Amino acid sequence: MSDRVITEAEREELTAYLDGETDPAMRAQIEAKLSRDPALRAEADAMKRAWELLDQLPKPKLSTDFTHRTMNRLTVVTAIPTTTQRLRNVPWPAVFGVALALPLGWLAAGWLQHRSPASLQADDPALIRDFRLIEELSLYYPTESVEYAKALDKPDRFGDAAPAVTTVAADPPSDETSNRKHLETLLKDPERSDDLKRNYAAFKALPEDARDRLRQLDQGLHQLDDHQHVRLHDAMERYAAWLARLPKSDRARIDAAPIGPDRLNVVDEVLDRQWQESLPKADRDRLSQANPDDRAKILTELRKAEKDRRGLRTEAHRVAVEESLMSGLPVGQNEFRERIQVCVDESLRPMLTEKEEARLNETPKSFRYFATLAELSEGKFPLPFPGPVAPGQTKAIRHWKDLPPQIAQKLPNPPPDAITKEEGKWPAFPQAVVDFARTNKIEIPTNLLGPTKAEEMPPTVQKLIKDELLPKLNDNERRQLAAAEGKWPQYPKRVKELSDKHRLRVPGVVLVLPGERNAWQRVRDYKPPRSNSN
Amino acid sequence: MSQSVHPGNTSAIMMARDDDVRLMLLVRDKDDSVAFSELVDRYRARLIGILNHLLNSIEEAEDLAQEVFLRVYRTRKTYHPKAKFATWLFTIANNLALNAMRRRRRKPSVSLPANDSGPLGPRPAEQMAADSGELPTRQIAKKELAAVVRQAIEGLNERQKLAVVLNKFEEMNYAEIADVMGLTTKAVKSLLSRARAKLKEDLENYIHMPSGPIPIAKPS
Repeated sequence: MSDRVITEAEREELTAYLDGETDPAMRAQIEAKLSRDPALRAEADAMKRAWELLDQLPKPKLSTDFTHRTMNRLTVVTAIPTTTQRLRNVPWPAVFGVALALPLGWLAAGWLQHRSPASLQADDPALIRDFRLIEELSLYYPTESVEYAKALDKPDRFGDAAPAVTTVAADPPSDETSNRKHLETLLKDPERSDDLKRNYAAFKALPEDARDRLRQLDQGLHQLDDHQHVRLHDAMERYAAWLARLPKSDRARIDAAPIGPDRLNVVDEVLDRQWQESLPKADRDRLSQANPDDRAKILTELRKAEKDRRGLRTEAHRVAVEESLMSGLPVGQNEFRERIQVCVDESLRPMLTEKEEARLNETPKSFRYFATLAELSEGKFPLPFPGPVAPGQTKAIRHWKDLPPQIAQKLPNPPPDAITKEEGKWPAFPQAVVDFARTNKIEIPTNLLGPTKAEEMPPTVQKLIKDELLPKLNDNERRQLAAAEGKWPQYPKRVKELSDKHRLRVPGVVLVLPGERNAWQRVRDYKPPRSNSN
Repeated sequence: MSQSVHPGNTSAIMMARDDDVRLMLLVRDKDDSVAFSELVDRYRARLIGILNHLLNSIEEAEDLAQEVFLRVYRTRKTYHPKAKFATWLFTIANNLALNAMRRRRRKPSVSLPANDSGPLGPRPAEQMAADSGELPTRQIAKKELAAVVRQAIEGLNERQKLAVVLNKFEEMNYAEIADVMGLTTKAVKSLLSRARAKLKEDLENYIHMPSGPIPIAKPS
C-alpha cells in the first residue's frame, strides 16, 4: 500500500463524490484525479466498501401494535389534559343511564344539569366534602370499585407494564380546609370551574348508593401505597380515555354488562378485536384466509409473540430506567464498590437483622443491590467510631437479648427505660448500658460490648492501626491509645480521634453513597415494573 | 391558537407536493387523530429503524419513537410546512435521540453480572473486553460481521452517527441532513467525511468481505 497521505480536504471531496453531492464540473475533476492517483483511488474504494458494510446491520423486527400503542398513549397524554376536562369525553347519558339502570327522571335531570351547570359556591359544604372525588368523577365513575381498578391494571388491559418513574408526591389531604383551598383556587380558572360544575351536577344527580360506592372507591384508592395508587389511577385514566374513544355500539355493550367479570369479558373482547385490527396486513390476510382451526393457532402464536415483545420492552424499560436513576452516581467505579463492600461486610451486616441480611444476600448485584443498600443503610451511617462487633460476637449489640450474661446479670431486670429506649440502635444501645452502669456505680466488663484492642477491630481497621496509624503517633499519643485499651467505647473512639488528627480515613465508618442525595432517594423509591405475567 | 391553511401560500404548495404535509395539517388544524395515526403508520418503520441504529436496542428505539410521535403531536400547532414532513419529524427525532445518547453516555453501567472477580462483579466494559478475545468463525461470519459493523458505528461520535444513519439508511442528502441537524451543508460534508474515514479505519480488516476471506486480525 502506498505511503501517500490523503488530506482532509481530499477526503471531503471523495465523500461528497461518493455521496453524489458534487456538481458535474467537480465530479469530472475528481474522476480525473482518481484516474491518475492510485492512492486516492484506493482510498475511495476502501471508503466505499466500508460504507457498503453498513448494509450488514440487521433490520429490526417491529412490534405489530406500535401504532395502536402510540395512539393509546396519545389519548392519555394529550386528549385528556386535565382530570376535569376528561369529563367532556365521557358520554354521560350512556354511562349513567345504562350502567346503573337509573330511573329516567334522574337521567334527564343529570343530563340537563350537565348541559346547563348551575353556579358553584365556594362554601358549599357538600361540594367541599366530596371535592376530591367530584374532581375525579370522570375516572371514578366508569371504574366504581378498587377491585375493578385492579383488574384494569393488567398489561393486557390498561396497566402499564413499564411505568414511568415518577417521584410520587404525597397525596394532598382531603380534609375540609385543604378541599376548600383547592376549590377556591380552581374556581379562579373558568375552564376548570366549568368542568367542575358539570361534574358536580352529575354527581348530585346520582343516587345515594352510587355516590357511596364512589366514595368507597376514593377511600380505597387513598389507602393504597403511593405507587399502587398512582398505577391504578393511571390505568383508570387510560380506561376512561379508551371508553371515550369507543364506537357507540361497543360502548353500549360494555355499559350494559354488570361491572365485574362480565364487563371485563366484554372489555377483553373489544380489546382483542382492536388488537387484531392493528395487526400488519400480512397477518390479517393470513388470518382471514385460514380455516377456523388454523386461525386459532395463528392467533395463539401472534399473541405469544406480542407478549414476548412486551416482556422485552418491559425489561428494556426497566434497565433503561434503572440506569437513568443511577446516572451521576459513581456505582461503576471500582474504588466506590470496594469501599462500599468493606462497609457492607464490616459494619452494615453486623447491624442488620437476619431477615435483612438474607434480603441483601439474595439481591442480585445490580441496580437492586444499590437500592437495597441505600434502603438498609439509611439512618445507620456514618458510625461515630469503628466497630461494631464485640469480641466473640457476629453482630453488633443492639438489644437487651444481645447483652453478654456477665453484663445483663449486673443490670436491673426488667431493664430500665434509659436502656430500652435505645433498643435496636448502635452504638446508642451499648452506650446507654455503659452510661447507666456508670451513673448507678455498677461495674461491668465494657470490653465485652465492642472491640477494645487493635486485634478485635475489623480487618481493615486493624491494618490501618498497624500500618498507618501507629507509625504516625508520637509517644504521648501512643500512651493515650494504650490507656484506652480494654475499655469500650474509649478505645474505638480514640482510634477514630487519632486517625482524624493524622488525616487517616477509618474504613467502614462511612457507607459511601456519594452523589446527589435526591438521586439516592429516587433509587430507594423506585419500584421495578412488574413481570409480563397477568 | 390553531392556524388555518392559507391558499396559495407555502402550506398549499407543500400540500400539493407532500401528502404527509396534508395529513400533518389536518392534525395541526383539526386535531385529526385518524390523520395522525396514518402518519405514525407511515413513518414508524423508518423512525424505529433509524433510532435502532443509533441506540442499538429495538426496545429503546420503539420507546423513543413513541416519544417522538407524541412530541410531534404536542407541538402540532407550531408546525409550518416549509419543508418535507419527514425533515420535521427527523429534526424532532434528532433532538430526542441526541439527548438519549448523551444520557446513556453519562450514565454508568449497572448491569453487573455477579461473580467472584470483584466486590460487586466486573463492570460490563471489563466483561466485554474479556469476551472479545474470541475470533469469529466462518459459521457465524455474518453475525460476527454485523457485530463488528455495529461496533464501528458505536465508535463514531453522536453527531457523526446520526449523520451517517440519515445519509445511509434514510438516504437524505446533505441539505436535508443539515436541516435536521441544524448545521450547514459544509459542516455535514465534513462530519460525514470524518465518519467515513473512521469507519474505513475501523472496518479496514473487513472491507473485502463477504467475497474475501475472514481476516484473522481483530479490529482495533
